[in-house]
Amino acid sequence: MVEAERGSQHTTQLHRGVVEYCVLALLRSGETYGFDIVRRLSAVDGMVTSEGTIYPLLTRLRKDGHIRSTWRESSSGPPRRYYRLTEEGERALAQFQRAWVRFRDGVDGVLEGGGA
Amino acid sequence: MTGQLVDDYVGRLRRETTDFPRGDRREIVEEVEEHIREALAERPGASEADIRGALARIGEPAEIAAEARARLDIPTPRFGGMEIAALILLLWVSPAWTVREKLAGTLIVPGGLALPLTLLLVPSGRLICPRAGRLDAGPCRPSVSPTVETLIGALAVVLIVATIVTPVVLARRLRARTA
Repeated sequence: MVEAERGSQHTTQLHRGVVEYCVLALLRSGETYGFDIVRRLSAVDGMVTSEGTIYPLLTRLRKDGHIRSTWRESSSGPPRRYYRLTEEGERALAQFQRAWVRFRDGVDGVLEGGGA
Repeated sequence: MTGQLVDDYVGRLRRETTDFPRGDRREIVEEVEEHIREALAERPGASEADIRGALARIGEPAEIAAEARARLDIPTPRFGGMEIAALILLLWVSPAWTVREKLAGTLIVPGGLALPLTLLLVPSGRLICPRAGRLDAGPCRPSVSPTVETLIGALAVVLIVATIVTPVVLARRLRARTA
């Protein structure tokens, strides 16, 4: 329990690196707004420790050209920023996915005692 | 009361991000405000405890600011302008020193050894690491050329000596005058 709490307070570099691609992957199914992104990520256990930290990440991804944001009217309340994946973002995501699968399989192999 | 909780929260987030580039700051603050609006719209008539819970899930403003600094490469301010202003004010208000000495103290003492030590340590220790922390990270390179580094080093040595000598001289003169 204590271990789990410590783990959730400390956002590791690996965690940081992975979450950003999960945001890109969410946007593959179409554009959406920040609150919705956070809610869908939060549904995955251990993915989001503090909801607000996703917003600096969205700013970063937009600056990298991996996502684009546009203002859209919403049926409920004021207009919202909607985020959508760019072609550059799609390429980065595809590249990550290949690297991730290799990495994950390798790590699993080592953890399960198979070695390299 | 409940509106007050949200206002306080947003105020703290603004304070944590005062030194951010203006566009980044506005975007992050607006998005967090929008997030709070959406979260509260989901439960009309939310109690004070509900709102506190929603804000706790969003995270401490300091935590969001720290994440933004890491993600957007915004450095943490080294020392506050308020501390320096207070020191200079004390120096000039004091009757103990001449105008020339006060001038020396203003230019050299503020920031103390922090400035030269920073100059000395930061350039050689700082590496530019493209896409640091990501799986596709590039190789790290020093941020300045060796020549520039040497020059900065020499300047730092001069400043270190000056910052040690100035207060000593000022203190001695003060003692001589009060004795």
